[in-house]
Amino acid sequence: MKNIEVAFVGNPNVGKSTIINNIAKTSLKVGNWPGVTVRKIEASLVYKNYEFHIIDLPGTYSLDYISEDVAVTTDFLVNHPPDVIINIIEATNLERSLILTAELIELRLPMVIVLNMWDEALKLGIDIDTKKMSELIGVDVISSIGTKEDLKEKLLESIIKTYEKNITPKPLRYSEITEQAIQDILSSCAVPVDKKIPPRFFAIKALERIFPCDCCTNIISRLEKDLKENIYDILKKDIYGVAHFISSNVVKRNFKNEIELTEVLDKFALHPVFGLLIFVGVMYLMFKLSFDVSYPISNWIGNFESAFLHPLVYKLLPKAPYIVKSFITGAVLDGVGFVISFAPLVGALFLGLSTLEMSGYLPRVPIIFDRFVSKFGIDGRGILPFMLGFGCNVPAIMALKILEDKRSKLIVAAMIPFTSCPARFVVFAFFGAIFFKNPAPIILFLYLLGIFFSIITAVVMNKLLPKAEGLPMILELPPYRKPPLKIVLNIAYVELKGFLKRAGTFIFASTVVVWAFLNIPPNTNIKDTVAGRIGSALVYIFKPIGIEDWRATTSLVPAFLAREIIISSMGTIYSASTKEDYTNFDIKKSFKEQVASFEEAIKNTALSFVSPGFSNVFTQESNSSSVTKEIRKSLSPYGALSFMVFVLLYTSCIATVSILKSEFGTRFAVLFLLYSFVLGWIVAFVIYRLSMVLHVF
Amino acid sequence: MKLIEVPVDKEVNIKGYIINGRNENPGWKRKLISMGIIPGASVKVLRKDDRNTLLKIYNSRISICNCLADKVEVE
Ligand SMILES: Nc1nc2c(ncn2[C@@H]2O[C@H](COP(=O)(O)OP(=O)(O)O)[C@@H](O)[C@H]2O)c(=O)[nH]1
Ligand SMILES: [Mg+2]
Repeated sequence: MKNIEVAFVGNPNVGKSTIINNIAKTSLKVGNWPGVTVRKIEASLVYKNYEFHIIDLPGTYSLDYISEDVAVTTDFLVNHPPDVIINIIEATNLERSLILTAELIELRLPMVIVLNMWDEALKLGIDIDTKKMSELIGVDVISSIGTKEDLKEKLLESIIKTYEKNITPKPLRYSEITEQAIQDILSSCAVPVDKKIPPRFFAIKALERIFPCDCCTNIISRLEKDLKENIYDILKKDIYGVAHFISSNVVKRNFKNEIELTEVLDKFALHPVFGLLIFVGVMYLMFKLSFDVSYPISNWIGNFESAFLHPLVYKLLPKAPYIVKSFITGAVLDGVGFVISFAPLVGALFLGLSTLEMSGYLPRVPIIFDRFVSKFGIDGRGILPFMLGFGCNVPAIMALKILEDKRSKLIVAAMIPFTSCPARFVVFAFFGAIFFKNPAPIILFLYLLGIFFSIITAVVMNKLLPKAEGLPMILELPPYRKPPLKIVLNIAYVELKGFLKRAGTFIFASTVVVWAFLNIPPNTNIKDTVAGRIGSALVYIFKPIGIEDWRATTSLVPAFLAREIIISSMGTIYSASTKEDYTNFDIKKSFKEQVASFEEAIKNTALSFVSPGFSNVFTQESNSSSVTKEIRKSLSPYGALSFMVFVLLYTSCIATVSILKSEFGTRFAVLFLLYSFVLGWIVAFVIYRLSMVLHVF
Repeated sequence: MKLIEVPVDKEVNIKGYIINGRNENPGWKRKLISMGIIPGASVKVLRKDDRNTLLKIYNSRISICNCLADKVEVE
């Protein structure tokens, strides 16, 4: 078995992910580039006698260091040359795409060129002579329709041939001036030995002033003095010359000029007023669908775990010591159940996001928002990570890579932790159902409150941070396309798998820790455990904001790991003081009930598709259990609201804190944590007092 | 003429960039060049508002900040 490492390189939105999904299906993995939080997508697959290791590099227009994601691609190709480069090109945009190809050719690596979007090119009347193009460049040129045809065999065969015969592109020759400059650098400057790249590539990048090289700078300055022209401009002109030469030789027919659907749609989607309305509509639909579709099932999973599996353990292991049963239910089952009950929501959100991304709508959102967010010192692109925050704060902070300057990154990073992620929604829904007759407006209020404090934080940050000049917004807007269902599903599945693996291990580990906190020392009253002692001490801090019960404050201790844990730990803490009674548990009867409620959940999911508003999922929460009664007794509605506000604003999520730390340093993470704690407390205090004075409940 | 001054739906050719001082390759210039906004290319302005200019070049739509459209010379 031979190993072939294949790197996919191309402009953004040319169909790299589509093609990789097409050939690798579910063997995809999502990870992070070491040291940088840019998504790294990889796949391994076996074909014939070869094992292919495929890497999807972030889309780029040039091999440069303009932004973090571009730098990942450049660094990867320079420091870790793959066996074969797959250069994906948009057939509808050949000449422009060839600018990157010209740079890739200089790497002198085996290469295959894929002309994707062949169907769209045909529609536009563009006809490319692939045979001639292959002769000109010297490597395989393949036409492809990533969304329709099965590319596996065609592409892999070509990769094998290219690899075995070591087929590299023909060398390029530029104008005499450029070639002379390259020669000068090669003959008088030393190429750093640690680079695995061809000396000529180094010389070209030195001419572009991308690789630092003092000796080269001297040569460049001398040349520019003689020529009275910027050497970079000369070099780039040569590169377009190459792109133009190839393109004009292989494109047989040129486009029909027709007014496209995209242009018509953009008249609305990018309109200052309609654009905003459409955005609100699209977001509403996405969140409604993901919440409504997943909530009944998530809810059922949680219930199945606590109302069926817990008693089952006690029934099946009557003789086991209490500590064992408690570990199995409180740590293992709660941990796993928790992660699984999250899967439908996260999966649905990823599905919605990848649909929006694949349809071409997502790249337009920054333009709609540029006008608003520029007031806080960030450009429109900041809105994308911010929006993701409503899905989960952690990937949102990771997505900040798309911003080019550190200042905007810091501002948006400080905004994201105030967006209401599903973890908060779970807490809001739980409290909402216990304390309020009509929880929907309260939950909406909390969402808006979060957005409000995001903005306040951005304004403050914008004032505090020193002004800096970033790279202004330049974006390419792909045409609108019908998202390919199979590929969207596959991407969502792979993302969900990655999320569950990362979050799963983390949440699982944290439930074990929480369980330990609640059980050390063993066999004591919960009030005397480590968690209980911390919680009791916390009462002094939380009394002024209406949280006076030690059990409520104790539940905040484990919740530092992740907010959702509040619910499961409240379950444990309150039930430990009431003691659940499983003696009447009847396996058969209870199982039948679970099946019935599962059918109910599926029905509610189906119904949610047709109901216009957010469906009334909250009232389905079992309202009568002894635990919820205890919780209701321990807090007033005002205290409950204040509790929710505090949970909303305080960064009670170790995953978010640790990602802030790894991205922006310990000082920023700690300061932010303190800021969010103080802010959460003050706002909760104000709202608690105000709502009591106004008698809102 | 500057790109920002081009009326909507008109096609023009890129002439160059307006940069203070010689021998500079600022980030924005590198980015524009790599995206195909290069001297000689013909562009059409699709729409404009107070912040961004949307143009069609080759077969792609590119939205650039007005602060940059101001630095692109056309004829
Ligand atoms: N018509 C057509 N659309 C395609 C083709 N390949 C990909 N797409 C679409 O192009 C869009 C961008 O693809 P994606 O894989 O996300 O591009 P990436 O940014 O390079 O990873 C998606 O909507 C795809 O469905 C193709 O061959 N024909
Ligand atoms: Mg992609």
